[in-house]
Amino acid sequence: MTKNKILIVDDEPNVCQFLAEYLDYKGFETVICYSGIDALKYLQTEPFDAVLLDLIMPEMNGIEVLEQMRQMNIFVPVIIVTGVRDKKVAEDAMSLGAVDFIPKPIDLDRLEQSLIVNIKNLQ
Amino acid sequence: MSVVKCFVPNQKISKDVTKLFEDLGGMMKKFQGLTVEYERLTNDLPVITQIAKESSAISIVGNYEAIYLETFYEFTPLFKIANAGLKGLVVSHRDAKITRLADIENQTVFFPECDDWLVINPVVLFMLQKCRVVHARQLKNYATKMEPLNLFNVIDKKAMVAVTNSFEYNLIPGKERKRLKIFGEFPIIPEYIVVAGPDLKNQNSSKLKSILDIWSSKYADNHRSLGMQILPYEASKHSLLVEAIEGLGFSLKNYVEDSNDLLISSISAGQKKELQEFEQKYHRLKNFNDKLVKMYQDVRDSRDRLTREIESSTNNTILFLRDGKILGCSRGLCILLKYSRQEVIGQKITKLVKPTISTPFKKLIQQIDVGLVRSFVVNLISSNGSKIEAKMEFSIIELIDSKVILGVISKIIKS
Repeated sequence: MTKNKILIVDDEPNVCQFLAEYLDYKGFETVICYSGIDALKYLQTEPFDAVLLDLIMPEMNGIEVLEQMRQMNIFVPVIIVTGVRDKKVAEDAMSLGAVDFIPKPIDLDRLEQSLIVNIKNLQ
Repeated sequence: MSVVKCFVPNQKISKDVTKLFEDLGGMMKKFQGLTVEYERLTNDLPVITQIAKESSAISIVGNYEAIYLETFYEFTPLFKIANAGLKGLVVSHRDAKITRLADIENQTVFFPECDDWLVINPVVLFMLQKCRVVHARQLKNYATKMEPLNLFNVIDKKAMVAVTNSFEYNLIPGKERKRLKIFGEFPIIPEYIVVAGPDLKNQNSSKLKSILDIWSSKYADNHRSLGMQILPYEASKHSLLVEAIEGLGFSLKNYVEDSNDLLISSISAGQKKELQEFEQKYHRLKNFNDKLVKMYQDVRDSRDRLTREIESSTNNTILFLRDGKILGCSRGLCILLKYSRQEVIGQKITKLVKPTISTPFKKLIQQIDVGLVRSFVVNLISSNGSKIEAKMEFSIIELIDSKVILGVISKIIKS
């Protein structure tokens, strides 16, 4: 059985590594990248089943990544994982195609459920 | 018959010294027809206060007191009793244009090693405070160390001034000595001055002088056997002392009246500041320590309160430190896991709670601490070893100096 492939985008290595470790254990395949620009490169070259995207990042923030994905016609479920708890930001992200908004500190169980549901929906 | 009060120091002094006074009184009575009444000075009042009020008095005082009584109360210093002639000298090159002590302020002064000096007087203090003092031991150029070498620094014009004593001054050859000038003298061993009140000065000055000369020559051998010498009092030799006192910022009056306080404050002007800083540091440290003790008390109190709250809670909650040590466990959770509270407190959290993921609990606690993780699924281990799968929510409670973690079972998934 092929594993679902998740792109983890966060400028904090600790967050990426922890999420990768957790998701690997839960049976996902993970790829880490630390910037929005790198994420777009990955998304153009490799197929992913879902993206975990941070909002606050240098050079290109999460909202800009979402905008670029839309312009590039990349339709992968994006789950925003962020410390930002602004409702407006969440609404903007959802309007740009994000499928869920998970605030930090993360409820790991909820994150897993969200991935499962959204990947299933895509399929 | 006129009465003269002879004030005798109120101290245990040798009979020979007391006899000096008796001899003096006897001579005055014999040759001048004066009645001499002896009175002991008391220790309650300063000597000068007791003597100055009597205009027809004779007594023995220290150098500064003599200058004081002469200046302010018209006493006459008659002679001094001193050790045979050892004096402190301030020596300059004969070409040096020094007319007053203030001229050497901020200049280099060669100083003998202080270990050998017992007396701190205003001249020495002035040098220490107002001049750049160089000690002989700081000079590595000489193989042997003899204090007169200081004087050659003045002869060679390496320094403007050197402080020495009359013995060392006489050690250098006469030829070199001629290139030096004694700028001033000061006593380095205490000197005692016999002073007479203004009445004696006005009425009997010349007669008194001749009596003293007779007395002095008659008893010279006695005095010498005591290591004393009766010397004439030369007011001009004390001008350096007065200049130094004023150079230090005191008036003669203050210096004599409050000599002890002023001397201590002048010796330790720098140290006094250090002492004040030290005291301030001590108080700051004490305050800090008090606050620290209170803080720990508060921490303990708040932790105890929190633990009590947790333990009385009917929710399934557990309180533990970042190192995993359990502080408290709610009654509900104890019942659920079939533990008594005593069996749980102080144990590691991993005894009761095991995450369902591979990440070690220690690492998860770190992620909870940094605010990345809030909740995950765990296996709760009961006392009989059975497992209950549950979702647990974690939050950090920040106390004053530490953090504790509150774990709450939000959902039992499988039991």
